[in-house]
Amino acid sequence: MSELRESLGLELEEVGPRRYVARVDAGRVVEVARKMLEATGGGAYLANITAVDWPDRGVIELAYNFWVYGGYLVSVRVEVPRDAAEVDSITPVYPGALAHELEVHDLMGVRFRGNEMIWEPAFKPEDMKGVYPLRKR
Amino acid sequence: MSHVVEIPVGPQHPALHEPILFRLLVEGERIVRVVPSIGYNHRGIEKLAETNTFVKGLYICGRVCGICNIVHATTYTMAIERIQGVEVPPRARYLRVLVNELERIHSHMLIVAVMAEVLGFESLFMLIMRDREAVMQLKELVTGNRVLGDYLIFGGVRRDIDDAVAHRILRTLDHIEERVRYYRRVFEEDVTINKRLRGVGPISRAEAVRYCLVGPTARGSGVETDVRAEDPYEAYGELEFNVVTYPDGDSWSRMMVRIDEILESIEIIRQVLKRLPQGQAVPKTFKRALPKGEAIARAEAPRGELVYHVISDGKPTPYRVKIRTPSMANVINGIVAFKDAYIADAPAIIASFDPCISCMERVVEVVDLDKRKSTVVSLRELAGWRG
Amino acid sequence: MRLPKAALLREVLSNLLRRPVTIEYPKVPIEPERGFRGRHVVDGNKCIGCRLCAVECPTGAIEMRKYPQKEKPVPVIHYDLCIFCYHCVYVCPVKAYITTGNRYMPTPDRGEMVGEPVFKSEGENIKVKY
Repeated sequence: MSELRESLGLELEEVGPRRYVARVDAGRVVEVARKMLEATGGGAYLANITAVDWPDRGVIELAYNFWVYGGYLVSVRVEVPRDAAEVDSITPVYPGALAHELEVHDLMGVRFRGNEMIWEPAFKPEDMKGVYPLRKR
Repeated sequence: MSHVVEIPVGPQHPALHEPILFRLLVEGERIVRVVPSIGYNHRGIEKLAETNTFVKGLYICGRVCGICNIVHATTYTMAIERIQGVEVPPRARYLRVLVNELERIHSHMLIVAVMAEVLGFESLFMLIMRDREAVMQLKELVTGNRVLGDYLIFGGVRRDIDDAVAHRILRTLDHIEERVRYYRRVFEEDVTINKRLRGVGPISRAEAVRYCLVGPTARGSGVETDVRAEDPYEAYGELEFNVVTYPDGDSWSRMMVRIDEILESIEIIRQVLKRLPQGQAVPKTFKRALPKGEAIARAEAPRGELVYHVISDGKPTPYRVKIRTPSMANVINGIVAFKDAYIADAPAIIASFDPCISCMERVVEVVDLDKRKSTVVSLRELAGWRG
Repeated sequence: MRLPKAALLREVLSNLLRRPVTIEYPKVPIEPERGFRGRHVVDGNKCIGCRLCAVECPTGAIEMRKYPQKEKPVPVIHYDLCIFCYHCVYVCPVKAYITTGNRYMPTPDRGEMVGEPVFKSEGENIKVKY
């Protein structure tokens, strides 16, 4: 655990048994994902990406939840502005992030740069392209 | 000459039990690429959970999936109890384990039977379903219904069991164990099953990690991960069981993982009934309001790891409920298993992921039954989208 | 050529001598287990009119209606909206609900899918007719 803390170079805050939270800038997300995969020796995977809309702060918060096998969950929080919601895709490191980025793009409208495999509309009916239902009114 | 032909599997197909479309791009008999098309069963549960209170959310989230409904309710309740800081009494924790394991047994028997049916082995399908019926009757005895258990409430469970029920469960499980050992022998020895499942749809261990697969799909590739062992919840920390893995990573390994897990679940239930603590399992009252906070709860559904991320800001309705079902990761990311497969292998690979499409999508066609009149509210209106 | 192991042959032969497992419901009635969640109604005499069941019903299937026998309104259940989760039965502070295991529902008349409260007078047995 402490080697992970050192190699990531992040402030990990413990919020419960086996739950840690870290906050990074949006530009560092691919680098953090690569460190999660390598620092644990291929022993961490992306459990999900939760997108939360905070209209009063004007940001959309993305929580990348990584589970390290045998241990603990690290939730990496990234914030992007609501009107220009874009972030780099981590599919070069974790190709399995496709399913989660697909859902976040489809329902919340965040663009993932570099992910060519996202198609829209995926979960929604065909006439709802461009409509993002999970955003708050 | 190489023409690429597109063959659609779904959305209505005899090999699939729920609507999903897989567009197979084939050259001759070999699959070159797979493009999934989803969204046929989307019901808007995440948005629905935001507009209803926490208690109603318990019943909404318990209806995301018919086959694993108890596990959804368990994970939601665990997230709420973590935010509230409520301690669950030990007897209730053991009873929750009992019902979760019954769910796992019936779900695994279902997918083993469906795999037999997809291969064309209909006699085996019928035989497994006959034995699964006994497990459904146990669920009806304990929770009150065969599916949609509605067994949990914040701070405990809703019904208790007595000695007659426990005795009946043990007797039925003895019979089921004998039958499942027989089916395990069939899967190991039968020539047709071996020819159609061994070596089909291989996923290596490194691919299973990078493609973020979970559950028996990952355990069939040698990844030793099980939420019950690594992140113990409810009473799993006090029970002894094995994490079942198989190294090969093909469809046969994934099915054998599930069959062995049925036998493990039977052992877990026997331990639960032997060590069931005394005390109160049904709470007299429960808190309906939550303070500000958030929680991430994980549980092992029959198909893999289920994650609920609940955020509350002190109001009577939740701010955000994010459900990450195992089928979403497995089915969309699992297209890596179709590399160089034959068309005839496609149903065997799809069924070995155990796709639960209702779990995977959570959107809606809201029918407004107020004033006893049915109108259809379009998703655009429900989203309140302006411009 | 290797003979395939006849794993299922013994099973098939023993099933030939048995009668079919299928139960021809509804020609043959099925007895549900004890505790099956079927149609439920309120015992009108025990109800105190607190409205907790109507407020917390997930689908809003409970309507509070005024009856001449009581001064406060009592719950009436609309089975076409009910999902039989039995939350109302659980939260009632005086345990005023009568539960049955009967859920046989098909009817062309929607007015039949309503559960009116039962008011029994002293000494008379409750006969819940379905």
